[in-house]
Amino acid sequence: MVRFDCSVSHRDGVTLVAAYVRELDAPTRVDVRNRLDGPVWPPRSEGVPEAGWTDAGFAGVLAPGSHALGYATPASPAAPAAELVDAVPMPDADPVGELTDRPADVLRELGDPSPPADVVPVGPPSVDDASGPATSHSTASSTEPESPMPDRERAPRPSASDSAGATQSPVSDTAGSRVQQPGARADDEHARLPPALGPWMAAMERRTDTAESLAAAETVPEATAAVREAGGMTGVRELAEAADERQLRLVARRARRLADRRAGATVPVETLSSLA
Amino acid sequence: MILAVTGGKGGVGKSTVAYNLAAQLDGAVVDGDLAMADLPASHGPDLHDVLAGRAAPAEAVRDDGPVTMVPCGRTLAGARASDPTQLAETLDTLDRTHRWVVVDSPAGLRADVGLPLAVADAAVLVTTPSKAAVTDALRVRELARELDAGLCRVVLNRTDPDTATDPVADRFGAPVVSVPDSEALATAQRHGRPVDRTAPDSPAANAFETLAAGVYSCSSV
Repeated sequence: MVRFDCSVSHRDGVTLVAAYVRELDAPTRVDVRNRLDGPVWPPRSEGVPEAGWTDAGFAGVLAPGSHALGYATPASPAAPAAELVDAVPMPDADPVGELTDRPADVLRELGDPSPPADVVPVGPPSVDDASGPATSHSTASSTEPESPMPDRERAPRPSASDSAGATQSPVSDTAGSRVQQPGARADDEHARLPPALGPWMAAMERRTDTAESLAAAETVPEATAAVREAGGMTGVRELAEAADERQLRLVARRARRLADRRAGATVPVETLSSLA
Repeated sequence: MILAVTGGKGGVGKSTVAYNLAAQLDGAVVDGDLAMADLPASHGPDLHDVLAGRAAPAEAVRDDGPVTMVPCGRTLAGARASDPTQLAETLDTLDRTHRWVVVDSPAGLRADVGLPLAVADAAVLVTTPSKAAVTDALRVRELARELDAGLCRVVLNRTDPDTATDPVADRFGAPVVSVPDSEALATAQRHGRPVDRTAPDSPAANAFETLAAGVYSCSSV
């Protein structure tokens, strides 16, 4: 006789449901449905949902014995979280999880051969791209790394009829991702620096502005104004000889190294407070 | 009929065998190495485009060269945008219009090796006589078995006159075709031509003729 029960836990906004199907005597086709008010996030291998999982829950043939079927959902916990809708013994059926020659099974079992997103160059297409339909290739490189979706759901797959449109749309996507960069830099400039560093950085910005206007001056009146702003020829010489760039780069390097070290050191507040 | 040419180890001559076998069979060779394509490329839609849904399989077929071919794109972005599960349907589609579809599979045991095997009617394993290559090829044979791709022939590539084929045939449980180490073959492959056109009387060309006859015999079983 089939026994069914389930347990629920809630953590970080995600509800984890464990449904147990116990004591199957023979291969049995079971239909376990999610009762919570949210989508089923099934277990996945290599980005592909495990065999038998659907949007509604699990439907598939289980081998004799006891099984745990676990899934996650963003819905709030409730009881019962899942229900066993149907359980029909099918002595001759193959249980799920065995390697078949269905493409999804093969992919799940052997692993996705696609190169990882990190190795895909972002930016203008290389010379190699010109050998194929260049627009479509650059599409993938510019949009994919930003997509949070699992592999196989990520790439939009236009049908043959709208393929002409598909080669057009990436252009705007690419532009969209690029305009973010100057915006990000502006944010950096307005971010508040630590008090000890602020005045020095402001002075460096002023000196850089002055150096830029000295460099850009093309007429005598412009040069005169720029030299006056720099504090006369003494100021100009001092500015020319100052090691501003070296100092700024030194600070940047040290700051980057420190930031990397800081990123690697997570302060275990909870552990320490439980010990204290 | 779909033939998966595979072998596990890289550099054993899978692409050379697939290309020359397709030439002998007058079939189409598909460059199934999605991330590191080997067979000659040309302009126009390729396998990446087909697997990403941007082109129909027929659009990627090139029949203007010495061997009918479906080339694969060279970019990692193209490989990443491809849906490997579409490979099965693509090969099935090509199978309807071509008597022989020869798939040049990549090295390894990932899904890009398994997917052609899953849809293939038969497999041709390629190995060199080295122990490492034979070990890898045996692993692929196991995978082929699980996926019901019958092992038709084992190609023992780059043999010298002293290489014994019988022990290899025993280990694989399939007939072995020996392809001798051949400058004529290497030169032909470099120039993107099958060896039976550049050196029709060479031992390598004869070996592929023997291989093709073996494949014919598998298809008639």
